[in-house]
Amino acid sequence: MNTCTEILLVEDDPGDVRLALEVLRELHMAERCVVVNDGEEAIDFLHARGAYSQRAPGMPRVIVLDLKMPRVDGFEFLEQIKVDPRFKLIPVVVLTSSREERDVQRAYGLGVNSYAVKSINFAEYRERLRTLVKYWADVNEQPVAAASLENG
Amino acid sequence: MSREQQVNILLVDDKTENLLALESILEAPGYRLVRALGGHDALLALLADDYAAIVLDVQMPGMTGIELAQIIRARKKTQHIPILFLTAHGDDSAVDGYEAGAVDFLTKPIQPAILRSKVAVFADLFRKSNALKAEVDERRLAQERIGQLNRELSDRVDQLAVANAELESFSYTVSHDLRAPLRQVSGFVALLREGLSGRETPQDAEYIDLIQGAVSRMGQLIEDLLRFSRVGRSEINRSVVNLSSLVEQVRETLAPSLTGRDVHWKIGPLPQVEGDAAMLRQVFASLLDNALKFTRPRPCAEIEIGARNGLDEHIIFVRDNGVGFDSRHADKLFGVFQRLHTGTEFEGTGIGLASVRRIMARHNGRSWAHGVPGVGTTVYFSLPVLASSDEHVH
Repeated sequence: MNTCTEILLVEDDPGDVRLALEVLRELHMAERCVVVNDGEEAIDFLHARGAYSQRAPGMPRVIVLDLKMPRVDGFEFLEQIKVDPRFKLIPVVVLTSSREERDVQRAYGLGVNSYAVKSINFAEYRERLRTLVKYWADVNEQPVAAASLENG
Repeated sequence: MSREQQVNILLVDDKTENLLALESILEAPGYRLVRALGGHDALLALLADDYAAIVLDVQMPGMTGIELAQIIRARKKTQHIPILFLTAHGDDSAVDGYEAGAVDFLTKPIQPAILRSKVAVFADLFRKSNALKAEVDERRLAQERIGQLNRELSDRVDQLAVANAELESFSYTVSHDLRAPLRQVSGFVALLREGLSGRETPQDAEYIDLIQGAVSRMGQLIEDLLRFSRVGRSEINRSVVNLSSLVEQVRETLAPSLTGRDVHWKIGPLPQVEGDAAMLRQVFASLLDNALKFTRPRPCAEIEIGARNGLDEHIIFVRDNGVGFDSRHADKLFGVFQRLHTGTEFEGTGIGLASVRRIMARHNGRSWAHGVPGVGTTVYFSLPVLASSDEHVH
Protein backbone atom coordinates (compact mmCIF):
# COMPACT_ATOMS: atom_id res chain seq x y z
CA MET A 1 0.00 0.00 0.00
CA ASN A 2 1.70 3.13 -1.10
CA THR A 3 -1.13 5.61 -1.51
CA CYS A 4 -2.30 7.50 1.52
CA THR A 5 -5.41 6.31 3.32
CA GLU A 6 -8.56 8.34 2.83
CA ILE A 7 -10.95 6.51 5.12
CA LEU A 8 -10.49 4.18 8.05
CA LEU A 9 -13.61 2.03 8.26
CA VAL A 10 -13.97 0.37 11.67
CA GLU A 11 -16.69 -2.26 11.32
CA ASP A 12 -16.93 -5.91 12.40
CA ASP A 13 -19.88 -7.06 10.29
CA PRO A 14 -18.72 -8.22 6.81
CA GLY A 15 -22.14 -7.45 5.28
CA ASP A 16 -22.06 -3.92 6.64
CA VAL A 17 -18.48 -3.51 5.40
CA ARG A 18 -19.60 -4.50 1.94
CA LEU A 19 -22.54 -2.09 1.97
CA ALA A 20 -20.39 0.80 3.23
CA LEU A 21 -17.76 0.11 0.55
CA GLU A 22 -20.46 0.16 -2.14
CA VAL A 23 -21.48 3.63 -1.02
CA LEU A 24 -17.89 4.85 -0.71
CA ARG A 25 -17.09 3.51 -4.15
CA GLU A 26 -19.55 6.03 -5.56
CA LEU A 27 -17.49 8.75 -3.86
CA HIS A 28 -14.37 7.31 -5.46
CA MET A 29 -12.96 6.85 -2.01
CA ALA A 30 -13.32 3.10 -1.62
CA GLU A 31 -9.97 2.35 -3.25
CA ARG A 32 -8.17 4.13 -0.46
CA CYS A 33 -10.30 2.83 2.37
CA VAL A 34 -8.75 0.60 5.02
CA VAL A 35 -11.11 -1.76 6.80
CA VAL A 36 -10.37 -2.90 10.35
CA ASN A 37 -12.65 -5.16 12.36
CA ASP A 38 -12.56 -3.65 15.85
CA GLY A 39 -11.24 -0.79 17.93
CA GLU A 40 -8.03 -2.56 18.80
CA GLU A 41 -7.03 -3.00 15.14
CA ALA A 42 -8.02 0.60 14.50
CA ILE A 43 -5.70 1.81 17.24
CA ASP A 44 -2.90 -0.39 15.88
CA PHE A 45 -3.48 1.15 12.47
CA LEU A 46 -3.29 4.72 13.78
CA HIS A 47 -0.09 3.93 15.67
CA ALA A 48 1.31 2.10 12.61
CA ARG A 49 2.15 -0.90 14.75
CA GLY A 50 1.45 -4.64 14.82
CA ALA A 51 -0.07 -5.75 11.51
CA TYR A 52 0.18 -2.14 10.31
CA SER A 53 3.84 -1.44 11.09
CA GLN A 54 4.62 -1.35 7.37
CA ARG A 55 1.74 0.88 6.33
CA ALA A 56 2.19 4.07 4.35
CA PRO A 57 2.67 7.12 6.59
CA GLY A 58 -0.06 9.65 7.22
CA MET A 59 -3.46 9.70 8.85
CA PRO A 60 -6.88 8.92 7.38
CA ARG A 61 -8.98 11.91 6.44
CA VAL A 62 -12.07 10.41 8.07
CA ILE A 63 -12.76 7.55 10.48
CA VAL A 64 -16.09 5.77 10.00
CA LEU A 65 -16.79 4.00 13.27
CA ASP A 66 -19.26 1.33 14.32
CA LEU A 67 -20.02 1.34 18.06
CA LYS A 68 -20.83 -2.26 18.88
CA MET A 69 -17.81 -4.41 18.16
CA PRO A 70 -15.99 -7.24 19.90
CA ARG A 71 -12.90 -6.63 22.09
CA VAL A 72 -12.41 -2.84 21.93
CA ASP A 73 -15.75 -1.26 21.01
CA GLY A 74 -16.33 2.13 19.43
CA PHE A 75 -16.64 3.99 22.74
CA GLU A 76 -13.37 2.62 24.09
CA PHE A 77 -11.69 3.46 20.81
CA LEU A 78 -12.93 7.06 21.09
CA GLU A 79 -11.80 7.32 24.70
CA GLN A 80 -8.30 6.39 23.63
CA ILE A 81 -7.87 8.47 20.48
CA LYS A 82 -9.64 11.64 21.58
CA VAL A 83 -7.10 12.24 24.35
CA ASP A 84 -4.17 11.78 21.97
CA PRO A 85 -3.08 15.04 20.26
CA ARG A 86 -1.89 13.07 17.23
CA PHE A 87 -5.34 11.59 16.53
CA LYS A 88 -7.94 13.79 18.15
CA LEU A 89 -8.39 16.06 15.13
CA ILE A 90 -9.27 13.27 12.71
CA PRO A 91 -13.01 13.60 12.04
CA VAL A 92 -15.02 10.62 13.28
CA VAL A 93 -18.38 9.67 11.79
CA VAL A 94 -20.22 7.14 13.93
CA LEU A 95 -22.23 4.70 11.83
CA THR A 96 -24.33 2.47 14.06
CA SER A 97 -27.61 0.60 14.39
CA SER A 98 -28.32 2.14 17.76
CA ARG A 99 -30.59 5.13 17.94
CA GLU A 100 -30.68 4.95 21.74
CA GLU A 101 -30.44 8.42 23.21
CA ARG A 102 -27.70 7.47 25.69
CA ASP A 103 -25.49 6.13 22.86
CA VAL A 104 -25.93 9.33 20.87
CA GLN A 105 -25.10 11.47 23.88
CA ARG A 106 -22.15 9.35 24.93
CA ALA A 107 -20.70 9.40 21.42
CA TYR A 108 -20.98 13.18 21.09
CA GLY A 109 -19.64 13.50 24.62
CA LEU A 110 -16.54 11.63 23.47
CA GLY A 111 -16.04 14.10 20.65
CA VAL A 112 -17.43 12.45 17.51
CA ASN A 113 -18.21 14.80 14.63
CA SER A 114 -21.34 13.12 13.28
CA TYR A 115 -23.64 10.37 14.39
CA ALA A 116 -25.46 8.42 11.68
CA VAL A 117 -27.97 5.64 12.29
CA LYS A 118 -27.73 2.80 9.80
CA SER A 119 -31.18 2.92 8.30
CA ILE A 120 -32.92 -0.20 7.07
CA ASN A 121 -33.97 1.83 4.08
CA PHE A 122 -30.96 1.62 1.75
CA ALA A 123 -31.60 4.90 -0.06
CA GLU A 124 -31.58 6.70 3.28
CA TYR A 125 -28.51 4.83 4.46
CA ARG A 126 -26.62 5.66 1.30
CA GLU A 127 -27.57 9.32 1.37
CA ARG A 128 -26.56 9.77 5.00
CA LEU A 129 -23.23 7.97 4.76
CA ARG A 130 -22.28 9.64 1.50
CA THR A 131 -23.11 13.16 2.72
CA LEU A 132 -21.34 12.85 6.05
CA VAL A 133 -18.17 11.18 4.77
CA LYS A 134 -17.87 13.64 1.90
CA TYR A 135 -18.42 16.61 4.20
CA TRP A 136 -15.81 15.58 6.76
CA ALA A 137 -13.32 14.49 4.13
CA ASP A 138 -13.65 17.92 2.51
CA VAL A 139 -13.26 19.68 5.86
CA ASN A 140 -10.14 17.66 6.54
CA GLU A 141 -8.61 18.06 3.09
CA GLN A 142 -5.19 18.78 4.55
CA PRO A 143 -4.88 16.09 7.21
CA VAL A 144 -3.97 18.28 10.19
CA ALA A 145 -3.02 15.48 12.55
CA ALA A 146 -0.90 13.77 9.92
CA ALA A 147 0.87 16.99 9.03
CA SER A 148 1.74 17.79 12.60
CA LEU A 149 3.01 14.26 13.10
CA GLU A 150 5.29 14.50 10.12
CA ASN A 151 6.58 17.91 11.11
CA GLY A 152 7.08 16.99 14.75
CA MET B 1 -66.39 -18.39 83.75
CA SER B 2 -63.27 -18.64 81.73
CA ARG B 3 -61.10 -21.63 82.42
CA GLU B 4 -57.90 -20.56 84.02
CA GLN B 5 -54.65 -21.91 82.79
CA GLN B 6 -53.55 -24.69 85.20
CA VAL B 7 -50.39 -23.79 87.11
CA ASN B 8 -48.03 -25.99 89.13
CA ILE B 9 -47.75 -25.56 92.87
CA LEU B 10 -45.01 -27.47 94.72
CA LEU B 11 -45.80 -28.64 98.24
CA VAL B 12 -42.76 -29.64 100.32
CA ASP B 13 -43.08 -31.34 103.70
CA ASP B 14 -41.43 -34.38 105.26
CA LYS B 15 -44.76 -35.69 106.52
CA THR B 16 -47.24 -37.24 104.12
CA GLU B 17 -50.21 -36.28 106.33
CA ASN B 18 -49.16 -32.61 106.19
CA LEU B 19 -48.93 -32.82 102.42
CA LEU B 20 -52.40 -34.34 102.25
CA ALA B 21 -53.71 -31.57 104.48
CA LEU B 22 -52.17 -28.91 102.22
CA GLU B 23 -53.61 -30.61 99.17
CA SER B 24 -57.08 -30.69 100.62
CA ILE B 25 -56.88 -26.97 101.37
CA LEU B 26 -55.52 -25.93 97.99
CA GLU B 27 -57.32 -28.39 95.72
CA ALA B 28 -58.77 -26.34 92.83
CA PRO B 29 -59.17 -26.77 89.05
CA GLY B 30 -56.59 -24.06 88.42
CA TYR B 31 -53.81 -25.90 90.25
CA ARG B 32 -51.76 -28.95 89.64
CA LEU B 33 -50.41 -29.82 93.08
CA VAL B 34 -47.09 -31.64 93.20
CA ARG B 35 -45.89 -33.31 96.42
CA ALA B 36 -42.30 -33.53 97.55
CA LEU B 37 -41.35 -35.39 100.73
CA GLY B 38 -38.08 -33.54 101.22
CA GLY B 39 -35.51 -31.23 99.69
CA HIS B 40 -34.25 -33.86 97.29
CA ASP B 41 -37.70 -34.65 95.87
CA ALA B 42 -38.41 -30.92 95.64
CA LEU B 43 -35.30 -30.22 93.59
CA LEU B 44 -36.10 -33.09 91.21
CA ALA B 45 -39.62 -31.76 90.75
CA LEU B 46 -38.28 -28.24 90.11
CA LEU B 47 -35.98 -29.61 87.42
CA ALA B 48 -38.91 -31.18 85.59
CA ASP B 49 -41.47 -28.35 85.56
CA ASP B 50 -42.14 -24.66 85.99
CA TYR B 51 -43.84 -23.72 89.25
CA ALA B 52 -46.01 -20.78 90.15
CA ALA B 53 -45.21 -21.14 93.86
CA ILE B 54 -43.56 -23.37 96.46
CA VAL B 55 -45.20 -24.04 99.80
CA LEU B 56 -42.34 -25.14 102.01
CA ASP B 57 -42.16 -26.48 105.56
CA VAL B 58 -39.21 -24.90 107.31
CA GLN B 59 -38.53 -27.80 109.61
CA MET B 60 -37.49 -30.90 107.81
CA PRO B 61 -34.92 -33.54 108.69
CA GLY B 62 -31.92 -33.66 106.38
CA MET B 63 -32.02 -30.64 104.13
CA THR B 64 -33.95 -27.96 106.03
CA GLY B 65 -36.41 -25.65 104.36
CA ILE B 66 -33.92 -22.79 104.72
CA GLU B 67 -31.18 -24.75 102.95
CA LEU B 68 -33.58 -25.81 100.22
CA ALA B 69 -34.67 -22.19 99.74
CA GLN B 70 -31.05 -21.13 99.38
CA ILE B 71 -30.44 -23.75 96.69
CA ILE B 72 -33.62 -22.71 94.85
CA ARG B 73 -32.55 -19.07 94.92
CA ALA B 74 -29.10 -19.92 93.67
CA ARG B 75 -30.41 -21.62 90.55
CA LYS B 76 -31.18 -19.46 87.59
CA LYS B 77 -34.15 -21.52 86.49
CA THR B 78 -35.83 -21.39 89.89
CA GLN B 79 -34.63 -18.16 91.48
CA HIS B 80 -37.82 -16.23 90.83
CA ILE B 81 -40.31 -18.81 92.12
CA PRO B 82 -42.04 -17.35 95.15
CA ILE B 83 -41.58 -19.43 98.32
CA LEU B 84 -44.19 -19.51 101.03
CA PHE B 85 -42.68 -20.78 104.31
CA LEU B 86 -44.73 -22.68 106.86
CA THR B 87 -43.31 -22.27 110.37
CA ALA B 88 -44.22 -23.35 113.85
CA HIS B 89 -45.51 -20.66 116.13
CA GLY B 90 -42.69 -18.67 117.76
CA ASP B 91 -40.03 -20.03 115.44
CA ASP B 92 -37.39 -17.35 114.87
CA SER B 93 -36.10 -19.08 111.73
CA ALA B 94 -38.39 -16.60 110.00
CA VAL B 95 -35.48 -14.16 109.77
CA ASP B 96 -33.24 -16.79 108.15
CA GLY B 97 -36.06 -17.64 105.82
CA TYR B 98 -36.31 -14.09 104.54
CA GLU B 99 -32.59 -14.00 103.95
CA ALA B 100 -32.84 -17.30 102.09
CA GLY B 101 -35.38 -15.71 99.80
CA ALA B 102 -38.74 -16.50 101.21
CA VAL B 103 -41.48 -14.25 100.00
CA ASP B 104 -44.00 -14.89 102.71
CA PHE B 105 -44.61 -16.80 105.93
CA LEU B 106 -47.52 -18.66 107.39
CA THR B 107 -47.56 -19.78 110.97
CA LYS B 108 -48.95 -23.16 111.86
CA PRO B 109 -51.68 -24.03 112.50
CA ILE B 110 -52.54 -22.94 109.02
CA GLN B 111 -55.63 -20.87 108.36
CA PRO B 112 -56.94 -22.50 105.15
CA ALA B 113 -58.47 -19.27 103.81
CA ILE B 114 -55.23 -17.35 104.24
CA LEU B 115 -53.14 -20.10 102.61
CA ARG B 116 -55.59 -20.29 99.71
CA SER B 117 -55.58 -16.55 99.14
CA LYS B 118 -51.78 -16.26 99.32
CA VAL B 119 -51.29 -19.12 96.86
CA ALA B 120 -53.98 -17.62 94.64
CA VAL B 121 -52.01 -14.34 94.47
CA PHE B 122 -48.86 -16.21 93.39
CA ALA B 123 -50.76 -18.29 90.85
CA ASP B 124 -52.30 -15.16 89.42
CA LEU B 125 -48.95 -13.44 89.22
CA PHE B 126 -47.49 -16.46 87.46
CA ARG B 127 -50.30 -16.55 84.93
CA LYS B 128 -49.97 -12.84 84.22
CA SER B 129 -46.23 -13.03 83.81
CA ASN B 130 -46.72 -16.02 81.50
CA ALA B 131 -49.22 -14.12 79.42
CA LEU B 132 -46.81 -11.20 79.27
CA LYS B 133 -44.01 -13.52 78.23
CA ALA B 134 -46.21 -15.02 75.53
CA GLU B 135 -47.01 -11.55 74.27
CA VAL B 136 -43.36 -10.58 74.21
CA ASP B 137 -42.58 -13.80 72.33
CA GLU B 138 -45.38 -13.10 69.90
CA ARG B 139 -44.09 -9.60 69.27
CA ARG B 140 -40.58 -10.86 68.81
CA LEU B 141 -41.88 -13.43 66.31
CA ALA B 142 -43.86 -10.75 64.52
CA GLN B 143 -40.78 -8.56 64.46
CA GLU B 144 -38.75 -11.43 63.01
CA ARG B 145 -41.47 -12.06 60.45
CA ILE B 146 -41.46 -8.41 59.45
CA GLY B 147 -37.69 -8.53 59.18
CA GLN B 148 -37.92 -11.63 57.03
CA LEU B 149 -40.61 -10.10 54.81
CA ASN B 150 -38.46 -7.00 54.43
CA ARG B 151 -35.51 -9.11 53.40
CA GLU B 152 -37.71 -11.00 50.92
CA LEU B 153 -39.03 -7.72 49.56
CA SER B 154 -35.58 -6.31 49.08
CA ASP B 155 -34.55 -9.56 47.38
CA ARG B 156 -37.52 -9.18 45.05
CA VAL B 157 -36.60 -5.59 44.32
CA ASP B 158 -33.07 -6.74 43.51
CA GLN B 159 -34.38 -9.50 41.25
CA LEU B 160 -36.68 -7.01 39.55
CA ALA B 161 -33.79 -4.65 38.95
CA VAL B 162 -31.82 -7.52 37.43
CA ALA B 163 -34.79 -8.51 35.26
CA ASN B 164 -35.21 -4.90 34.13
CA ALA B 165 -31.55 -4.60 33.28
CA GLU B 166 -31.78 -7.85 31.31
CA LEU B 167 -34.82 -6.56 29.47
CA GLU B 168 -32.99 -3.35 28.72
CA SER B 169 -30.02 -5.18 27.26
CA PHE B 170 -32.41 -7.49 25.41
CA SER B 171 -34.12 -4.56 23.68
CA TYR B 172 -30.75 -3.08 22.89
CA THR B 173 -29.65 -6.34 21.31
CA VAL B 174 -32.89 -6.59 19.39
CA SER B 175 -32.53 -3.07 18.11
CA HIS B 176 -28.94 -3.61 17.03
CA ASP B 177 -28.63 -7.23 15.99
CA LEU B 178 -32.03 -7.79 14.38
CA ARG B 179 -31.71 -4.71 12.26
CA ALA B 180 -28.27 -5.51 10.87
CA PRO B 181 -29.22 -8.48 8.65
CA LEU B 182 -32.37 -6.70 7.58
CA ARG B 183 -30.41 -3.66 6.50
CA GLN B 184 -28.11 -5.87 4.47
CA VAL B 185 -30.99 -7.66 2.76
CA SER B 186 -32.51 -4.33 1.90
CA GLY B 187 -29.19 -2.85 0.81
CA PHE B 188 -28.07 -5.71 -1.40
CA VAL B 189 -31.49 -6.08 -2.98
CA ALA B 190 -31.38 -2.38 -3.83
CA LEU B 191 -27.89 -2.82 -5.31
CA LEU B 192 -29.07 -5.89 -7.19
CA ARG B 193 -31.87 -3.93 -8.81
CA GLU B 194 -29.47 -1.13 -9.71
CA GLY B 195 -27.04 -3.67 -11.17
CA LEU B 196 -29.78 -5.16 -13.34
CA SER B 197 -30.66 -1.63 -14.46
CA GLY B 198 -33.59 -2.45 -16.67
CA ARG B 199 -32.50 -5.95 -17.67
CA GLU B 200 -34.75 -7.59 -15.04
CA THR B 201 -37.90 -9.40 -16.17
CA PRO B 202 -41.24 -8.17 -14.82
CA GLN B 203 -41.18 -11.16 -12.50
CA ASP B 204 -37.72 -10.26 -11.17
CA ALA B 205 -38.98 -6.76 -10.50
CA GLU B 206 -42.02 -8.10 -8.67
CA TYR B 207 -39.91 -10.39 -6.51
CA ILE B 208 -37.59 -7.56 -5.62
CA ASP B 209 -40.57 -5.41 -4.65
CA LEU B 210 -41.92 -8.24 -2.48
CA ILE B 211 -38.55 -8.62 -0.74
CA GLN B 212 -38.34 -4.89 -0.12
CA GLY B 213 -41.90 -4.85 1.20
CA ALA B 214 -41.23 -7.73 3.57
CA VAL B 215 -38.05 -6.09 4.79
CA SER B 216 -39.72 -2.80 5.58
CA ARG B 217 -42.59 -4.58 7.36
CA MET B 218 -40.06 -6.46 9.46
CA GLY B 219 -38.27 -3.19 10.14
CA GLN B 220 -41.55 -1.63 11.24
CA LEU B 221 -42.30 -4.59 13.52
CA ILE B 222 -38.92 -4.27 15.22
CA GLU B 223 -39.43 -0.52 15.56
CA ASP B 224 -42.88 -0.95 17.07
CA LEU B 225 -41.78 -3.69 19.42
CA LEU B 226 -38.98 -1.49 20.70
CA ARG B 227 -41.31 1.45 21.16
CA PHE B 228 -43.76 -0.78 23.00
CA SER B 229 -41.06 -2.07 25.32
CA ARG B 230 -39.90 1.49 25.96
CA VAL B 231 -43.42 2.44 27.11
CA GLY B 232 -43.12 -0.24 29.76
CA ARG B 233 -39.73 0.66 31.09
CA SER B 234 -39.25 4.40 30.69
CA GLU B 235 -39.74 6.65 33.71
CA ILE B 236 -43.11 8.35 33.92
CA ASN B 237 -42.78 12.16 34.02
CA ARG B 238 -45.94 13.42 35.66
CA SER B 239 -47.26 16.90 35.09
CA VAL B 240 -50.63 18.55 34.57
CA VAL B 241 -51.54 17.99 30.94
CA ASN B 242 -54.15 19.94 29.02
CA LEU B 243 -55.70 17.29 26.77
CA SER B 244 -57.34 19.87 24.48
CA SER B 245 -54.03 21.38 23.42
CA LEU B 246 -52.46 17.93 23.24
CA VAL B 247 -55.14 16.81 20.77
CA GLU B 248 -54.53 19.96 18.71
CA GLN B 249 -50.80 19.21 18.53
CA VAL B 250 -51.45 15.63 17.45
CA ARG B 251 -53.92 16.78 14.80
CA GLU B 252 -51.30 19.10 13.35
CA THR B 253 -48.87 16.22 12.92
CA LEU B 254 -51.59 14.23 11.17
CA ALA B 255 -52.20 16.92 8.54
CA PRO B 256 -50.22 15.11 5.80
CA SER B 257 -52.49 12.06 5.99
CA LEU B 258 -55.58 14.28 5.61
CA THR B 259 -54.84 15.44 2.08
CA GLY B 260 -57.54 14.47 -0.34
CA ARG B 261 -59.83 13.37 2.44
CA ASP B 262 -63.05 14.79 3.77
CA VAL B 263 -62.77 14.56 7.54
CA HIS B 264 -65.34 16.08 9.83
CA TRP B 265 -63.93 16.65 13.32
CA LYS B 266 -66.08 17.08 16.39
CA ILE B 267 -63.99 17.87 19.43
CA GLY B 268 -65.70 18.40 22.78
CA PRO B 269 -64.26 19.98 25.93
CA LEU B 270 -61.41 17.91 27.34
CA PRO B 271 -60.15 17.94 30.92
CA GLN B 272 -56.75 18.65 32.38
CA VAL B 273 -55.25 15.49 33.75
CA GLU B 274 -52.11 14.45 35.54
CA GLY B 275 -49.82 12.28 33.48
CA ASP B 276 -46.86 11.90 31.20
CA ALA B 277 -47.41 14.33 28.31
CA ALA B 278 -45.29 12.35 25.84
CA MET B 279 -47.08 9.10 26.61
CA LEU B 280 -50.52 10.72 26.43
CA ARG B 281 -49.56 12.26 23.12
CA GLN B 282 -48.69 8.78 21.90
CA VAL B 283 -52.15 7.60 23.02
CA PHE B 284 -53.93 10.25 20.96
CA ALA B 285 -51.56 9.75 18.04
CA SER B 286 -52.46 6.04 17.97
CA LEU B 287 -56.19 6.58 18.39
CA LEU B 288 -56.49 9.36 15.80
CA ASP B 289 -54.28 7.46 13.40
CA ASN B 290 -56.55 4.43 13.77
CA ALA B 291 -59.68 6.54 13.36
CA LEU B 292 -58.33 8.06 10.13
CA LYS B 293 -57.21 4.68 8.87
CA PHE B 294 -60.44 2.82 9.46
CA THR B 295 -62.65 5.60 8.05
CA ARG B 296 -60.75 5.60 4.76
CA PRO B 297 -63.55 3.73 2.91
CA ARG B 298 -66.05 6.44 3.99
CA PRO B 299 -66.70 9.38 1.66
CA CYS B 300 -66.86 11.61 4.75
CA ALA B 301 -65.03 10.55 7.88
CA GLU B 302 -66.55 11.65 11.16
CA ILE B 303 -64.24 11.63 14.14
CA GLU B 304 -65.42 12.71 17.54
CA ILE B 305 -63.23 13.27 20.57
CA GLY B 306 -64.90 13.90 23.90
CA ALA B 307 -64.86 13.37 27.61
CA ARG B 308 -67.25 12.76 30.45
CA ASN B 309 -66.80 12.56 34.17
CA GLY B 310 -66.94 9.19 35.82
CA LEU B 311 -67.09 8.67 39.56
CA ASP B 312 -63.45 9.48 40.27
CA GLU B 313 -62.09 9.36 36.75
CA HIS B 314 -62.28 11.17 33.45
CA ILE B 315 -63.51 9.00 30.61
CA ILE B 316 -62.15 10.12 27.26
CA PHE B 317 -63.30 8.64 23.97
CA VAL B 318 -62.43 8.72 20.30
CA ARG B 319 -65.33 7.73 18.07
CA ASP B 320 -65.32 7.19 14.34
CA ASN B 321 -67.76 6.13 11.63
CA GLY B 322 -65.25 3.70 10.16
CA VAL B 323 -65.47 0.01 9.39
CA GLY B 324 -65.99 -0.87 13.08
CA PHE B 325 -65.49 -4.32 14.52
CA ASP B 326 -67.40 -7.08 16.22
CA SER B 327 -67.47 -6.31 19.95
CA ARG B 328 -66.85 -9.98 20.68
CA HIS B 329 -63.22 -9.28 19.76
CA ALA B 330 -63.02 -6.14 21.90
CA ASP B 331 -60.31 -7.51 24.18
CA LYS B 332 -58.19 -8.91 21.37
CA LEU B 333 -57.89 -5.37 20.08
CA PHE B 334 -55.53 -4.42 22.91
CA GLY B 335 -53.17 -7.39 22.56
CA VAL B 336 -49.65 -7.07 21.20
CA PHE B 337 -49.59 -7.58 17.41
CA GLN B 338 -53.30 -8.45 17.47
CA ARG B 339 -55.11 -7.27 14.38
CA LEU B 340 -58.71 -7.60 13.32
CA HIS B 341 -58.01 -6.76 9.69
CA THR B 342 -55.58 -8.15 7.17
CA GLY B 343 -52.57 -6.17 6.06
CA THR B 344 -54.04 -5.69 2.61
CA GLU B 345 -57.21 -4.11 4.04
CA PHE B 346 -55.47 -1.78 6.49
CA GLU B 347 -51.77 -1.39 7.14
CA GLY B 348 -50.28 -1.56 10.63
CA THR B 349 -48.55 -3.95 12.97
CA GLY B 350 -51.11 -4.11 15.78
CA ILE B 351 -49.05 -2.42 18.43
CA GLY B 352 -50.92 0.90 18.79
CA LEU B 353 -53.71 -0.16 21.10
CA ALA B 354 -51.39 -2.45 23.06
CA SER B 355 -49.28 0.64 23.78
CA VAL B 356 -52.41 2.58 24.70
CA ARG B 357 -53.38 -0.08 27.21
CA ARG B 358 -49.91 -0.18 28.68
CA ILE B 359 -49.76 3.60 28.98
CA MET B 360 -53.15 3.60 30.69
CA ALA B 361 -52.01 0.90 33.11
CA ARG B 362 -49.04 3.05 34.01
CA HIS B 363 -51.42 5.96 34.70
CA ASN B 364 -53.76 3.83 36.86
CA GLY B 365 -56.31 4.21 34.11
CA ARG B 366 -58.30 1.78 31.98
CA SER B 367 -58.91 1.28 28.29
CA TRP B 368 -61.68 -0.44 26.38
CA ALA B 369 -63.45 -0.30 23.06
CA HIS B 370 -66.87 -0.69 21.54
CA GLY B 371 -67.56 -1.39 17.91
CA VAL B 372 -70.32 -2.17 15.46
CA PRO B 373 -69.27 -3.70 12.14
CA GLY B 374 -69.87 -1.26 9.31
CA VAL B 375 -70.93 1.52 11.68
CA GLY B 376 -67.88 2.58 13.61
CA THR B 377 -65.61 2.21 16.61
CA THR B 378 -65.34 4.02 19.91
CA VAL B 379 -62.19 3.61 21.97
CA TYR B 380 -62.37 4.76 25.57
CA PHE B 381 -59.72 5.38 28.15
CA SER B 382 -59.94 6.68 31.67
CA LEU B 383 -57.60 8.71 33.84
CA PRO B 384 -57.93 9.41 37.56
CA VAL B 385 -59.39 12.83 38.42
CA LEU B 386 -56.77 15.34 39.61
CA ALA B 387 -56.49 15.67 43.38
CA SER B 388 -57.05 19.44 43.24
CA SER B 389 -60.75 20.21 42.91
CA ASP B 390 -60.48 23.29 40.69
CA GLU B 391 -60.30 21.34 37.46
CA HIS B 392 -63.17 19.76 35.64
CA VAL B 393 -64.48 19.38 32.15
CA HIS B 394 -65.27 22.87 30.96
